[in-house]
Amino acid sequence: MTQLLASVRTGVRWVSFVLLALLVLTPLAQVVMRGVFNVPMAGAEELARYFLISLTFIAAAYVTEQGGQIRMEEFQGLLAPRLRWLLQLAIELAGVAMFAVLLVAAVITIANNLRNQTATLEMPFWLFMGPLALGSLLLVVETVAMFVHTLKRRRPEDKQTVLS
Amino acid sequence: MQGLFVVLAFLALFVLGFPVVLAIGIPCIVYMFAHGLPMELVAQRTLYALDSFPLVAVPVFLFVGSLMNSAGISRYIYRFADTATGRLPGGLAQVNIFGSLIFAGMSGSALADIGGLGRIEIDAMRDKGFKPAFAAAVTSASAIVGPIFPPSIPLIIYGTVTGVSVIQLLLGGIVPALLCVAMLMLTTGWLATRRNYPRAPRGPTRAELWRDFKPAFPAIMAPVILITGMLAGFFTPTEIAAVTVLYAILISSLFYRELTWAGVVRAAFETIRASAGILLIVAVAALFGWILSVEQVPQRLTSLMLSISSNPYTLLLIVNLLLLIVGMFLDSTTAILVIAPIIAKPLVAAGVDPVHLGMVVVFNLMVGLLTPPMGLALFLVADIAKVTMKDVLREMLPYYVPLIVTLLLITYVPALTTWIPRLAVGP
Repeated sequence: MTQLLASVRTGVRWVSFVLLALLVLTPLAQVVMRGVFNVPMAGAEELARYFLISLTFIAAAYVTEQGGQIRMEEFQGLLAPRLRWLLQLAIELAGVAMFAVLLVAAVITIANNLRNQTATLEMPFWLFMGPLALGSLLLVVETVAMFVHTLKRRRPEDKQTVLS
Repeated sequence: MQGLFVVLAFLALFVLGFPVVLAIGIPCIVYMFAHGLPMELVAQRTLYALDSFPLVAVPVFLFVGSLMNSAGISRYIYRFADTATGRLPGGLAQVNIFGSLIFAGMSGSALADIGGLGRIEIDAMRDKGFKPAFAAAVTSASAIVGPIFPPSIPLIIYGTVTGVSVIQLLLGGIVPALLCVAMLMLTTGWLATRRNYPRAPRGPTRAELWRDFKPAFPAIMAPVILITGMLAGFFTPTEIAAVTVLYAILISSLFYRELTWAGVVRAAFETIRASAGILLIVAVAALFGWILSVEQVPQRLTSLMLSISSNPYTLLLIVNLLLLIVGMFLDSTTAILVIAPIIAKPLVAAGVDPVHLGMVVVFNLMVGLLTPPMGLALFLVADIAKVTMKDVLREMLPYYVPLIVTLLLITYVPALTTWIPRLAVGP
């Protein structure tokens, strides 16, 4: 199970890396095509926006795993360790619930719009909405892993946000 | 009334230590369920918030800052800043501020400035006998120039949520950023004279200036290309961000020859982490903004504020006070996403220029990066300088004065912000 989670995390990191590269290359290609060859790239903006959506939702699990979610920890610091531990468990459980709702919402939306497509590139709607469903699923998995880790630890994490 | 519940629930969860994404998202989802709204709305609002071309510039500009740090370009910027301003009263403290201005032209993030150039500056100041807490204070105070001078991540986000032209906002940041730098340098000069801080024994010769300018020149050219490209209307902010990445990679690999594949990968992962964290909040906050507009919160606030006063300057004062308090508790991205859609309507209705308002909001919230308890810049700089928050705060106290004076000048002299955008793209 741990090995599977590690493989998923590695996959998420490298897919995010590729998406970032595509995110940079798409507007760059648009500039070159328009400025050098005088041939504007139809759909480049839509494609860049799609890569942004994909990057955000797919990399969200990586951000969570790395402690990159911004939060205020000052109040928790004032609590007794047991209370802080219980609060952290509650937060992680709430996270599982919220991302599960997002997942269900994305799946329902895809199911109800199977024949639709995007305006310029005519991308099937399931592909357009796919990153939200996949990202939410990954977030559920990551948050469950965090919950299990905190539960087994039997004491709270001292610091959960990593800035640098 | 239910809009108020969503706001209060968000604040309660945030104080309890919920990540911002959950603190915003949970009350919104509860609201949707309570009103029997379709689940599709949750998915569509969240996804379409990111379906924005200007927002693409956010990760791309963050990547530029990370690349500059990975390629060691910060060192060359620092060396040139040292030669150019090291003789001024305050020596390396002035170098720190001037270096931040140059770095600001490539990175739109205060935390990228602190994490990259800031590390070098703090180490150098410590070696020259400056107190680490003072070095940390100067570093964090000057780092807020990063998100004001173009490019700027908070200004791009502000433009996206309020519909104000991102190019005009970015151009509007030039004069306020220069003003802020001047104020910080004056304060540092005054402190240095009183505290007898060390400085370079003599001014630079022309040869020395030229020697250190040459290696820094390609890096200094990045903001020149960026601003010229926007002023001339050649590129959109997103396109210029991509061009700047290409430029950064070219100068790092061909001119500086210090960028390795490992460095690119490291910079990319740093960028992914920072940008996905911010953009996930943007996505979920779209639900929040939608609920507020359904509940007519901006309209009610407009009536309330206009009943207090219709004078734009009085309203700006109220907004400034509100934002200073909000900035203490919310990080800047969250604050922009939560507050901007609410206050923009009444202020613009009262006659405040939208670009001017954007600058006031963003500069004010950048000051919030330096105020506890949620001063992200303070957390990071204290961690790097290995000092306590209390010590940094003590040394920060004199720097709040120039920052507040700059804020007041930006607020009450709109031309400081609107002059360049009007020059470039008309009123």
